[in-house]
Amino acid sequence: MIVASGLKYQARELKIVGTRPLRPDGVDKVTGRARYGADISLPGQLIGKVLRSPHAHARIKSIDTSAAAALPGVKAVISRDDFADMAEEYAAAGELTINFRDVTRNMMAREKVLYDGHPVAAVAATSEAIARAALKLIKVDYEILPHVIDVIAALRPDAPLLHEEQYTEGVNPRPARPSNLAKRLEFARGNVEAGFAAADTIVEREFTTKPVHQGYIEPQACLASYSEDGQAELWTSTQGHFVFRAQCAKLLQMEISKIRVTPTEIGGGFGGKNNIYNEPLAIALSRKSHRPVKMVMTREEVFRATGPTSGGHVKVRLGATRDGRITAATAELSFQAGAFPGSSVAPASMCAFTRYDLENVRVIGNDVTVNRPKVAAYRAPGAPIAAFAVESAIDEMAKKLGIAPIEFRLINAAREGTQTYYGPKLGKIGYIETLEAARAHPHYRAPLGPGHGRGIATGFWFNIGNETTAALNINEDGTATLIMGTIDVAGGSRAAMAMMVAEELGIPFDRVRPHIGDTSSLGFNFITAGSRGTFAGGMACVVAARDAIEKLRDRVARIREVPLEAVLWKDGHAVPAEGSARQFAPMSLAEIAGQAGKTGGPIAGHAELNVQGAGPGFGAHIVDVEVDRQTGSIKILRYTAVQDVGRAIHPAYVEGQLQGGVVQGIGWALNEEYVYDADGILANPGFLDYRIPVASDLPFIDTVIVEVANPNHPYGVRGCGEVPIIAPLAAIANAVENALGIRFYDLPMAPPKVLQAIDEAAAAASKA
Amino acid sequence: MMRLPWFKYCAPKSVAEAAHILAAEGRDAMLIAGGTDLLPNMKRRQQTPATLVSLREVPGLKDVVNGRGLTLGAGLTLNQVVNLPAVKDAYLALHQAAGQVASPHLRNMGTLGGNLCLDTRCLYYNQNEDWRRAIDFCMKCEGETCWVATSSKRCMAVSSTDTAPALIALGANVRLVSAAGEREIAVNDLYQNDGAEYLTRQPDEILTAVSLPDLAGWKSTYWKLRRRGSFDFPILGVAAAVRTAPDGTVLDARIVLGAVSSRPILTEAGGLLQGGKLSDEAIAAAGKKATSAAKPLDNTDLDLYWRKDVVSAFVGYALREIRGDDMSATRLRIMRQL
Ligand SMILES: Cc1cc2nc3c(=O)[nH]c(=O)nc-3n(C[C@H](O)[C@H](O)[C@H](O)COP(=O)(O)OP(=O)(O)OC[C@H]3O[C@@H](n4cnc5c(N)ncnc54)[C@H](O)[C@@H]3O)c2cc1C
Ligand code: SF4
Repeated sequence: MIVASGLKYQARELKIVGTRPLRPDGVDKVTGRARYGADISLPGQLIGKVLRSPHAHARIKSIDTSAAAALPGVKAVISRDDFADMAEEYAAAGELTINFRDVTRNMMAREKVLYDGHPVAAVAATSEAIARAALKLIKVDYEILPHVIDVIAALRPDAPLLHEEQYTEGVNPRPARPSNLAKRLEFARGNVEAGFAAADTIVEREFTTKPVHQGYIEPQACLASYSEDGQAELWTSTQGHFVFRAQCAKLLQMEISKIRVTPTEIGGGFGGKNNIYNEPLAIALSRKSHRPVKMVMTREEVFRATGPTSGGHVKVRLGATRDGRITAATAELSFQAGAFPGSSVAPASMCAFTRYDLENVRVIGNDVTVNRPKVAAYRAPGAPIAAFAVESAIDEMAKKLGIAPIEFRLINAAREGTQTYYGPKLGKIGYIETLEAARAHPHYRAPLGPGHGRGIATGFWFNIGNETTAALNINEDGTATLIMGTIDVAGGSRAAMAMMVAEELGIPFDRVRPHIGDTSSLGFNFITAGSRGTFAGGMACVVAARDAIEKLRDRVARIREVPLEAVLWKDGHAVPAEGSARQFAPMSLAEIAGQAGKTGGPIAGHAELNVQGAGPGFGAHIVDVEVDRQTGSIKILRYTAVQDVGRAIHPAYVEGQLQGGVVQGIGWALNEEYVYDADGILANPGFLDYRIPVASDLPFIDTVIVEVANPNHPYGVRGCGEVPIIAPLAAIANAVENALGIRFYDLPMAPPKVLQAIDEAAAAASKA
Repeated sequence: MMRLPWFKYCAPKSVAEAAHILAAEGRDAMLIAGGTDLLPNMKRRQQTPATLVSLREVPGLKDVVNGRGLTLGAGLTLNQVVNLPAVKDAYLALHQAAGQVASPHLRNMGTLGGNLCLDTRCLYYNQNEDWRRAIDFCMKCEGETCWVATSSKRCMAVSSTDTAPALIALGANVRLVSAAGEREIAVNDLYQNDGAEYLTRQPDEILTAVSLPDLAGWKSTYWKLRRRGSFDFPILGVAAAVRTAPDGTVLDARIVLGAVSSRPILTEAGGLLQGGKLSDEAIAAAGKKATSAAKPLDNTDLDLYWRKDVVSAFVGYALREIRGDDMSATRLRIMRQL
């Protein structure tokens, strides 16, 4: 069976898909047996530590590592001189694009340090204490430069310049002077001027959001072992071991086949583990020291030097007619990319209005470099920032027009066939179904207490497919071992894959044991990003299962001496095709497998795909808040997330994704922010001062799963992990507006800001 | 992961032995009880004692003596304090304050004595060594300048203990024992307004017990403000204790603020209430008076003007609760505690 990109959706009766079995990785996790990045060790290993820049922006005049290298116990010291410079070369890493020229500089500073925490050198020593002592002996001579942290400040002509050779891409003619504006993108459709002219009402607003961290519980950790014959092994906590392998090979100028990456159990990633940080340093240290080298980040390093998401500034303008039709929409998004270009402004620009069927749209995206860590993807990269602005403006417009917020969205809703402003027409989507499910939910109609407010907002995300492989080995006893190449980022995709395979083979779920293969056991797999895990990974597993079934049928045809067409696969058995003249005694999977050796050898199924046809996902969120008018603090009282996921293979884990996304969105809306001091030093690099919401800060988050099957997946899967973080920011802001009559344009909505606004509104009211 | 520096560990078996070690080792030695404050500080090299003197095996530090008033051993964990019916019945503010310290795990380790001696906090101080070196060390630890107020002659780090304001409002004393002798002082006198030298306790003194007076006729409460209701250090604590006559006239009142200065502040707002009823006007006046005593600085979470602004609302919540208003909904919303 040859399948180029995948299989189509077929509605059928299902036994396993849609149930809620326990995940295969569950017991090891709750008993503490699961091995995460920091749990892997090798005999004779050294501990690697990184010396990081204490300055936000400085030129490196010299680095003297001699005293560190001379310290007893230190086995290797590396700095920029140990790595080749890289030319500009772009590659995909998750939903964002990377440039190797920048990746090598982010991994280890070359000419300049560009943010507090930027790696400058690394050591490997026989103990962590010695490694730390060695770091103190490295002398770096810096010329401190003025720095810039804020995205709008970075765009001013007199702003300190991060990259002297950076001329804005995407503007014509090429600018005469370099600037911090790395790239300007534009997406346009129709005639916005005419559209605004046709509008009865216009809403125009500006919004800002702060950078927030993915906040995964497990800090980055890896172990590398480089052997004398030039091969390297790497264990690391990653969302994409094949992509890490490719990047390490490039940065270390090695052949891909000489690196084997084994992914460990991952304690969360959310996009933050799409990028290499310590991995090439660990391999380089191992190469130099001839010993395995383990590197585990501290939480502080995670905050200072691994990707947060962008802080953003968004201008939105909407025009609509009296009867609620949006006639034109424009937005300009400026995103902090951090020290190197490549923020999520492109996907954010594409998502900004793609919930609506619009004739006239223009979106401009600015990618701006500032002296902060290079941003990384974070769940639907950029989309929450764009949606905070657009969904707030939509809410304001609905109110102005006197149309209920869900009705207003329904009037303008995107549907199958809607032409997007960034290219394709939308295929089969479930936005309208999602809005209708939200409208029908009891929460939407529940009475509100005095001073409480309810808000609605929606989100859209593309979801993606890409390269995916899987191998399914039928064992001698009729069980199956599934080797998959897409990382289970702890969302439970191993369970979902095993369920689809069990469904296909017609055997119980626990007879399929899923494993994540290392990079040498399967062909290339793209990162688990873009909500592709269960969509693309599932496709590969189904294709592999069907490939195995075909071989099983063929085996039975030969054993029973019947033509292949006479053999059907049903409920775990090869059975004679109905009405076929060639009847035979059915054979179970175990029977076939037991004789496999004698009948032609082991049986396995394979899939090597570039999966296409991802189904976009839509979510609609309803939230009730209460604002304490004396302190300005906001409490979330009730939350309902409605989302079209195509098909929930394992509904409990889908609900978990929805709830998790909402929680992170609540943190983004209310609490989380990076606090920098006047020198550009991060002042809250720890979970005590960087405040993510914890369980007791939250109400139970109710979920409603809408299932509008994706036609391009055998079980209708769309992907679900990213959409739920998009709507909360605006939904909460809209709820606060309904509670107080005051709209917030800046996140987070921290109590001082809220109280000040309440006091100002009261003062203005008493004057009037 | 951050690691502890090297240290010598002693586990004395009596208060006298512990006092003897402290006397011999001088300022290089520090007491350790639950370690929930000291050990993180040591990992960040804010405090680097050469010797740790553990109180874990010292008998008597967990004693509870219920006579006229109540005496609590300094070694009781916060959860043990929370779970004592005698505390909940007669000293509600202490029960509420202890119950809001940190998280359940930390309350299982952290002690009452450790909470009273808790190091002061500041955004420029509660950072690891490299961070502090990068901006240059501040006055509280190894440096010369205060980064919060560069012209300040003293450190302004914030007193962040939850139980101290409650115990001051309740009129409690502490017993301090050293090799040279012992003394009992009011909890209010345990503190001084200096972020670096925040205790009047001498380095060789061991806080062994907290004694609470008989408070028949008093009502008390503790209100804590923090960003998250789940766990965070206070950015404001308001403890109030009031004794009223049967007709509602206030005979005695103490209102104490935490986390808005380098020491807990016994405000003059209590005096303002004496002789009158807890009317809305009186409560508002007390709130205003208390606000003028609060001196928050830009060295902890959230905007400092806001932290001062909300003092009067919190004093109002506390006094209305004592008056008998049903504040349970507000209390639950802000503090997850009834
Ligand atoms: C994440 C986190 C959150 C926290 N949140 C809060 C909070 O909200 N509110 C709050 O008040 N605290 C908080 N704490 C601080 C701490 O957990 C508590 O204050 C706890 O009660 C300290 O007690 P301990 O026994 O662990 O003290 P230790 O760490 O053992 O000691 C603290 C200090 O007291 C001294 N000491 C201890 N016992 C004695 C004694 N008997 N005599 C003399 N000196 C003594 C020690 O030498 C040390 O200087 C938090 C801590 C963490 C890590
Ligand atoms: S208040 Fe000043 S001296 Fe004290 S810890 Fe903070 S910065 Fe240091």
